[in-house]
Amino acid sequence: MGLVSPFGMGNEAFREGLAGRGGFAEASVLPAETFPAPRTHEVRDWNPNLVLGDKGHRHFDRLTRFLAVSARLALRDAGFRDGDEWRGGDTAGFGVVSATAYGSLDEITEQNRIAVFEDPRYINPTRFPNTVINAAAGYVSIREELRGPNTTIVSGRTGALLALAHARGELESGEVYGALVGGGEVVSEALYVGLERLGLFERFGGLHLAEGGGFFTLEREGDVIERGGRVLAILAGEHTAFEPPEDDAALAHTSSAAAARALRGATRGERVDAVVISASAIEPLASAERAAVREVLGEVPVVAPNLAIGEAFAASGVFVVGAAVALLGDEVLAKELVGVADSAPKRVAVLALGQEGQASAVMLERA
Amino acid sequence: MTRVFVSGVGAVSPVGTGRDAMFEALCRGISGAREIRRFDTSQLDRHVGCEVVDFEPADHLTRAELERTHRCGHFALAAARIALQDAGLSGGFPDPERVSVVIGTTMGEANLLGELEDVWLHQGAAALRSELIPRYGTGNLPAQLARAVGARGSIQALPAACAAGNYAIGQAAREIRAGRADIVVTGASEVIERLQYAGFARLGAMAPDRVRPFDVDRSGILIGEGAGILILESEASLVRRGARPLAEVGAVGLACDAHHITRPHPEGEGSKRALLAAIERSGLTPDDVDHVNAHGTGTPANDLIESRVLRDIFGERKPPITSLKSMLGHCMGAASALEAIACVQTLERQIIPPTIHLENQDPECDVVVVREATPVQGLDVVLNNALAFGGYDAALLLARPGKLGEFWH
Repeated sequence: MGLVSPFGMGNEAFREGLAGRGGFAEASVLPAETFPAPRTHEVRDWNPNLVLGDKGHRHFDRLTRFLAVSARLALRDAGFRDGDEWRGGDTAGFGVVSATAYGSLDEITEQNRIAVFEDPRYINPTRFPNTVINAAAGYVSIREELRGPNTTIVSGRTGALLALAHARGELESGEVYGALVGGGEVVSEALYVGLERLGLFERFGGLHLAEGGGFFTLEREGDVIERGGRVLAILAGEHTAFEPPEDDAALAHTSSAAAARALRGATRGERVDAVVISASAIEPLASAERAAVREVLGEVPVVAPNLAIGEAFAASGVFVVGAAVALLGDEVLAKELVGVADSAPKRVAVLALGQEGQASAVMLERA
Repeated sequence: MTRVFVSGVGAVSPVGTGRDAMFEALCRGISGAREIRRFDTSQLDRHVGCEVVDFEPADHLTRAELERTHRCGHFALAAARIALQDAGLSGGFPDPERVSVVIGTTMGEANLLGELEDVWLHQGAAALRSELIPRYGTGNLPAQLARAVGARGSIQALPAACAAGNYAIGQAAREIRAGRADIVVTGASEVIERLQYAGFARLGAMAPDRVRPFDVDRSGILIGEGAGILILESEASLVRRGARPLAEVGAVGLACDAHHITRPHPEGEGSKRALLAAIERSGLTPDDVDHVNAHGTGTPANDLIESRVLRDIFGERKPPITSLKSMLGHCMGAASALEAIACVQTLERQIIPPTIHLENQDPECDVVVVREATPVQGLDVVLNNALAFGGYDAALLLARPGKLGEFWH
């Protein structure tokens, strides 16, 4: 697992943040003259050079750097990279599945301004490819020399969970023996203005626009053991559902019915020790997710890490999977977050709700 | 293993909208190239593209759908309605929870973002119409499609740049084979918009007037737009409904060059792996392939490398190839979806549509290119090839129903 979050770079920073021992960076992404006190939670202590070195990523945008750093951290954590050395098998069998909701929106709007308000002839050909949504994931494959399928998924907050299902399918069909699975999102002026115009900051007092990225390495259990790796979690189930709103005119829609169907499909009636939900301070999301958990699983401990982290869309989905993996492996953290008395949870469900009526759930088990 | 079939197709394209209009125009060699009308190109040295014209969204969408979507969504919803009618599913699905949506695109509603940015920068953020903002997100595209068709399974968008159609179809087939869905509404949609147009002009990748794939004087792409939607269905679902299959979906071979963000690998290493994976995972050999719908962008690098890859795979047995981008332009994310529909209809009608504007074939491109619509007997297996930004390689194998054996994907 390799995470870059508002709690900082790396898994330990994420764990400390989950436990409430982190803090947040001073906002610096948005122009201070326009946004003197922006409600953003940006990646703290962000220094990609610490992981990527100082060469070969000057043309990367912020999202690409998040993904590139997360990928390298995850590959090192899994033992696929020892420093810069590749320790896995044929890279043609190692893929990337990455989720994002808005891609490199900062880069897209910047290039659009040049095209429309300056002169399209000034568009920088080395930056233009960054405007394509899948470019960030593509750069991960290039940088890590991973020649297996590279896929980007867009499905809002649920994307990272769908990415897990997608990679599982590739593993089961034999297309890959391993994959980096995760995604990312960035704080951008356009996204902030969009949320502001939708009145979300006004309606939800604790809401912050957040960002970050993360990857998990997904493999068959036997392969992990054979190469001497350690299993952080077993993907035991997954399900995605969609329910349309009743109002024909509605665009945004959070569906507890879809969430319940997703949870039911992923957990299949098995015992669940805790549930990690995706909701940020956007209250209808939390209500819908909690209602679905109650309906399907009854009274079970619920952890909502994005209440503190903020709204990071696809990265929110990454963070809930990361929180579940952390809970499975960490008795102390489990006691702090869900109050389990004797041991860390053995079975944690993860639920993510989209803003268009979709919901995804995955079931993670301790190895 | 669950077999997957195409049971309906629908196209919105620069040369026609409907179930059959595009393919018939392609067989007549009609080009969609014309002066760009939707935005001003006067600051650029390129002015031609393949826009969709004669398309009225209100002919296909309800008033509420028109207000919930933008041009990319309009194309997708219209093509989906046509495809569902073709599949005999206009009346709804037997089990909506077993119906998924997987839609490809490159940039989604990028033109809406451009419009919003115009307002934001010229009039200030307060002038932004809040009801337009949620329409931008690419995640809105599959959601609106699912609402329009009544699907309640998994929904997702796959932004796989110019290979998005093949990516989506491949994932749709995977959803059915994994038992997650019985029916998947899939394909891809794309619009021409000014940032993308200007960017390709700046990359020096665009031809001034027409696309000449495999020609010694080829000079680049023309950007196109449109949507191609296919209904994929399990064999069991088809049998339950008593519906007829149009084609069987074989394997989709995916690979990544991991070489350069825009340029293909000089030896086509990833493309070769993807094509061979599509063939072999379908339980076939290169000798079984009857026709290749080439990526055929008309850029010097693509056509040369693609020719070498095909030569490496097929050797002296050169199956006839064609490039529909000579007529449709490069419809970006929608390209391989529209071309997959053409492949389905090639199998149905046993006719290979032509590559137009090919006057002097580049001797370095040692491939057999079809220049006139050509009837072929016993055309059973076709490959649809696609490459994309990000180093993406995606090849889709399609076959006439009954012509594929049991295979492992």
